[in-house]
Amino acid sequence: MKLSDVFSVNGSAMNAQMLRMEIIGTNIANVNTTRTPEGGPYRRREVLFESSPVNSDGFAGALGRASGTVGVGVRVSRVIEDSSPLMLRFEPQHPDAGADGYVRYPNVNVVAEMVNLVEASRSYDANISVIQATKNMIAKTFEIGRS
Amino acid sequence: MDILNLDKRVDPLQKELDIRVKRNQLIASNVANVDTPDYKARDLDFSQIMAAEVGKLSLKQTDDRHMPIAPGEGGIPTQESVATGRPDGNNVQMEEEMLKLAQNNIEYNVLVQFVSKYLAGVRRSIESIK
Repeated sequence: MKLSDVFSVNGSAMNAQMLRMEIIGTNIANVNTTRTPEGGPYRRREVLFESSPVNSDGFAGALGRASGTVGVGVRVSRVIEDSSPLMLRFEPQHPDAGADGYVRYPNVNVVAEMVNLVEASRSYDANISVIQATKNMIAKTFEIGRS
Repeated sequence: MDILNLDKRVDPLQKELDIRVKRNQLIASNVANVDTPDYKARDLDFSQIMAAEVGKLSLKQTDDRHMPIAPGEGGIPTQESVATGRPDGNNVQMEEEMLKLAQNNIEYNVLVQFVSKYLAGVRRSIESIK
């Protein structure tokens, strides 16, 4: 149990939120991508978060886990592809149009992505606030014994 | 010989500081996991901390084979929040965590002031006999 453990806890969360924002950026960038290296149109991606104890290596980690004094950070467990149906648009002149004249566009909803982006950004800010507060506490610690 | 009662005066304050450090870490974990599905917010278990403190005063060893109970040595008790959360099973409330963060920070500063003032007093009394 150290004040500076908080940096790894919130640092991991900021990394995770940053990856989430990158994935959102990828989704928005590819909102009209009908051709990908894997074939077919782009599919919306999403990150899955899971909590993970920080500093879990070695003796200190084992002791921390056993006594419940280890901080719980976050990591991205997986990036999944959204399997919801693609958007169909009737554009027979489009080179990627199917035999029926419909083009399959990615299942990305820009409005939903923007909302998600704001949420990720807010969570990122909250983590910065905690780090800031912890920095103040550490600075205050140095005042002990100073008259 | 502890004329200045350093142990008696500073130890409780040190423990109070430890509790604030622990709480800061719990808040940090809660904020970090605000978007983690099925994560439950954790906080200090004040009733257990109190019970441990009270028990320290009244627990008497009636038999030599009894193990002495030293509360606080096994870590500071915590508990999961029972608040109803979002549909994804997460019950972190960001506003509450931010308020706790501010409160905790202030309490920590107050305690540091206490320790500093006490140590300054000790230093003054030492210097006065020079």
